[in-house]
Amino acid sequence: MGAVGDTLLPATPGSPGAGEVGIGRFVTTLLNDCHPIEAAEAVRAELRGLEERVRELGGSRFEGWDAVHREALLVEREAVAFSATPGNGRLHPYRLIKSLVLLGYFTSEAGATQALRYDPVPGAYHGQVPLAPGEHSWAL
Amino acid sequence: MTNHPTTPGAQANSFDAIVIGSGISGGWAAKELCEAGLRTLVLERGRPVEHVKDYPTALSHPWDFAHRGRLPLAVTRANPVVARCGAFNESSQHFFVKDQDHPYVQEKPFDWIRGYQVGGKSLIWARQTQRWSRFDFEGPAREGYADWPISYDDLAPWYSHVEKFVGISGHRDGLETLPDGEFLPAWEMNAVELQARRGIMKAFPGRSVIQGRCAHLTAPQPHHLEQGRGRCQARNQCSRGCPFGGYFSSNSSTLPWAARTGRLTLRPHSVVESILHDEATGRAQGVRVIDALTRQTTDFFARVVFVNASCLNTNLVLLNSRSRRFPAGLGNDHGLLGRHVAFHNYRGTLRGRVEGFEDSYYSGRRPTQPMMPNFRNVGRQEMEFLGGYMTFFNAHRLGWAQGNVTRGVGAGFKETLSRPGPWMISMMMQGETVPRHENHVRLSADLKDAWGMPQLITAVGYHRNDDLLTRDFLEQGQELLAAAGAKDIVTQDSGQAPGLDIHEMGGVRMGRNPKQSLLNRWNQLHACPNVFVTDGACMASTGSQNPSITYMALAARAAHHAVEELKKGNL
Repeated sequence: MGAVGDTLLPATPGSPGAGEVGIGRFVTTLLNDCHPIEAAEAVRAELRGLEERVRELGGSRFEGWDAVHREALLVEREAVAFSATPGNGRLHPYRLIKSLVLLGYFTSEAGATQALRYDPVPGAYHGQVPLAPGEHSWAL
Repeated sequence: MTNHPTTPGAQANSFDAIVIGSGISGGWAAKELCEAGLRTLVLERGRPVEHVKDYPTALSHPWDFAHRGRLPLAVTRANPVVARCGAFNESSQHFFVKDQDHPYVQEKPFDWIRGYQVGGKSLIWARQTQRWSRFDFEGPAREGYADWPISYDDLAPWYSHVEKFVGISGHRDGLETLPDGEFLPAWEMNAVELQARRGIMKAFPGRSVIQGRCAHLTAPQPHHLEQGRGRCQARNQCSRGCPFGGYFSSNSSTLPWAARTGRLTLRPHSVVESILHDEATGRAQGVRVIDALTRQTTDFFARVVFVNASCLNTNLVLLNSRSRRFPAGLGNDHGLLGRHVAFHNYRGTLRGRVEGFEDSYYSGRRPTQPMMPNFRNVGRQEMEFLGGYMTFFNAHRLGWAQGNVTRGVGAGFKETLSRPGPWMISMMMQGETVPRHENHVRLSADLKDAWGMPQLITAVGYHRNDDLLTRDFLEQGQELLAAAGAKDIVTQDSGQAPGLDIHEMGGVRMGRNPKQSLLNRWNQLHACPNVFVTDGACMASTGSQNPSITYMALAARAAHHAVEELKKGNL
């Protein structure tokens, strides 16, 4: 799970990847505590499916595979996940993983303070502030 | 066991005034009564919450929360009602009542959201404040669904009185449909909201887009600093409690102020079982309290009683105050107690996207949003439906959450998510509902809560009038958003149960005719004049405004009247 997270949101200049903020542990906690058992099972099946696909493509494990291959595999997975319309009304498990990775990363200390701009006590609201090219969003 | 006022030991339990409830209106009653010289007992059923000291999450970071603000399934499954409330999350849950602790009976679906602690819902309220206009008092009377015994002119000086102390941010817009108040500087609008405002007001002359008015100290005055409160820091994390005292709550403002007089006794963990009525005098003599922790019963005595237990609980206490004189509940000679309960309609929402403005952003987190006062049936009946609605909207740029619906993997994707996304406008309604006799609350004959109090049955639902009003809002909303420059406009009628507005009102309505109402023009029970009701229960109609500032004004006005009547020997 950590490797999936780190592939989705890798280290970039200025901020670490999701793998460095304990994303695997976070996603597991959220799945166990905040989602029904079926969701956690579907996610586990999804991860198993990913590992199978890695072997099909000649790799051994997702974690440790090179970044180009990892990314390509997730892109392939997204093509399926984003066009799927499951009968039970639930999102494809890959999309649940992705949403939890995003939540876990952008609300982590490193994610919020380095990938985004974190201002806990702004002091005032300014309605029209010029946005410079490349400037990041507020974390909250 | 009844402790008569002359029973030895009862002196310690005797006060000049009792206030039931320490929330937004009870706190005001306590402040006014204490300032006027009355030794006042405030009874709060919940636990103590001391300003700043008891706000455990006020300065927490997102990563301090195990679930980053989300709630475990164990909590949401056990408490499906409160889990539907948008303000109920990992950072604020300790200020909300859990369904399982306080059961009630939904004869029709009704989401009853409560805050049982010192300060009540004044800790977690949305802080939006607008004055009623004369149209809101006169319209219902004209159409025959309420008989307000007061006018806007009666209440205007009391709005001023409470607004100054509370600290209300707003702009003097000069609108008869939403009178100006005593304002601190207004919050800014962002570029897209300003465009929206221009577009809407050009396309719809006569309709106004104004900045939201709210109970936040944008420029604290000396008397705010004297309360120990400071400038709002634009954090918008208010439901955690504010360590800066930037917004108004009983905890930060009225209760400490009352305590400074030396005349306040605040008793938490005090469930009021009933108001005690003395048949000989025709007056209430006091209140019976069940200690929430020990279950011990104690009677407290006073010359006046203010019932501010929050709308439905005020109804419950009065219904449970049965005596030989009032077998159907205190003041209930005509069966109207608990009837004509109404609420605000929140069913309709819209959103749309706005192109451009890529170089414009904002900083800080604003605790209010632009709004439009009601523009329907103002001064005359024009529409197929009765009443009107307020419209709120805001524009914002999408953040990283856009990634939930966007394909993308890797560094480029992460970079895109880290930058502000496209602009969106979200719009919501706050619709008046017409109080109906059949919408009521009553006591369960057999079900009791953990303190032996009868559970409340809520029988409050929608009417065709609400469907028509919702439809009009959604139609108008599309035109408004199009004029605002929005595209791909989406409408939704959530069909949600009443209650999530948390603006339930009525049951103990004011009125001129004692045969058709419970309270007179001073919020006194017609049939028991030393009992005053100044929370949401007193409302004869709902208007379209956020009601709390009106409750505060009514409470202050009624408290002053109570003091005058006591001085004259009438009470």
